Amino acid sequence: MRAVLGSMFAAVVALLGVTAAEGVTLTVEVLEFRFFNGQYNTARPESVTVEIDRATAQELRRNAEGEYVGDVTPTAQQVTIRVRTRDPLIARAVTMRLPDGKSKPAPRIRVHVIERQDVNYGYSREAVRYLYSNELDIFLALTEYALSQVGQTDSQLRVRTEYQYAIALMSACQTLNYVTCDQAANHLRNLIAMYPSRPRFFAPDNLTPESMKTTLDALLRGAGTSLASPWLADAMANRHRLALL
Amino acid sequence: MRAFVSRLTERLTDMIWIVWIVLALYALPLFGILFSLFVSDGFRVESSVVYVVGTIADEFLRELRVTFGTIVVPLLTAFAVKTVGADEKVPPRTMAIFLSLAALLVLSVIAFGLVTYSREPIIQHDKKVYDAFQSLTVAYSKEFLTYIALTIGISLKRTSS
Repeated sequence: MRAVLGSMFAAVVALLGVTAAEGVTLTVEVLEFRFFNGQYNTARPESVTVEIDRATAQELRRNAEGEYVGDVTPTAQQVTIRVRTRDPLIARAVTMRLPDGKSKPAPRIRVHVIERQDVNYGYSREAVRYLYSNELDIFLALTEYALSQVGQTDSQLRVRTEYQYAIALMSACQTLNYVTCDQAANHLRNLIAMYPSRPRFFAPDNLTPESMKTTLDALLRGAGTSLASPWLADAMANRHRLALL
Repeated sequence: MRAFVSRLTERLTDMIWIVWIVLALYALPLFGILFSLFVSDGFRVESSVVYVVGTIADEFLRELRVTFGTIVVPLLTAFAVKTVGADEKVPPRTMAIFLSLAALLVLSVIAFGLVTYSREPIIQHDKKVYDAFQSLTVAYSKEFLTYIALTIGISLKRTSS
């Protein structure tokens, strides 16, 4: 009798768990960003999928123009959103931590997709504006694409783009809860290691091993926090510390 | 300064100086490309010189090059080259012009090679700059060959006629 009651209780708890699991709705807003006129509108991606805690991907359903929804279990720690697009738009994937706590708010994520275009010094100057205007997901999308395009030839642009990408990853990690801190640290370490053999590519942007180590230290101190980074706010107030034009 | 100018004008009375100066002006964008390559560390560091020379090269390709051709050809024909027979000694002035054009041809071919090799870092400045540099170095190579042919042709006019 006790065993039967126990199993019934377990079933009720499981049922409640399932009900609670369906209670949290993830909303993803996909925006198409046009770089040179700075405007964006709702995108029509081929598909938007979500991976919860690195489990199998499930497709999100379209709720409205550019808005996709799906259910997330309350115990989920992180989600990876993958947006597939048609050319010339570039597909994106972002991984973000979900807030802790039982009564977590329904997550709403805004993902920007950008168009394929030429990456040059002018592009890098334009891109950094989105960091200063605190549009960090756009800045991340732009620098991620730029680094994939600058090729393997060492140049000032490659160094600058990698540094900008590291800053974008760092800002996204500390402000948007993206899981990008480790990547940011790796790029900064890569740049610090590269400096002795190619200082001439760092000099025009006032990047020194010391300034990059300061950035790395700030990143390592603040890694994993979900608060807006005090370092970033300070660095943006004193742009020379970012060495980003 | 005035003494320097008067000394210079006294020394530049020979007609051949016009040819040298026109050739130097004609080749200026080519020298500009090589200079921008030098100051921008092989185009791998952003330099305003690359943009300026790129703009000049583009303008030169579209507008000035043909006009320059109409100046260079008569200068070579009328003033600089003495006609000689196939067995005669080449006059020093003719040889100097020929060697200068040959040197400029070599420079333009080297510049073409360097521009093509540096495609990626030049495009990182601007794709238009790369297009201008490449078209211009190709045009220079062809035109210097034409001027060399013209110089030889004029010089051997007497024997061929």
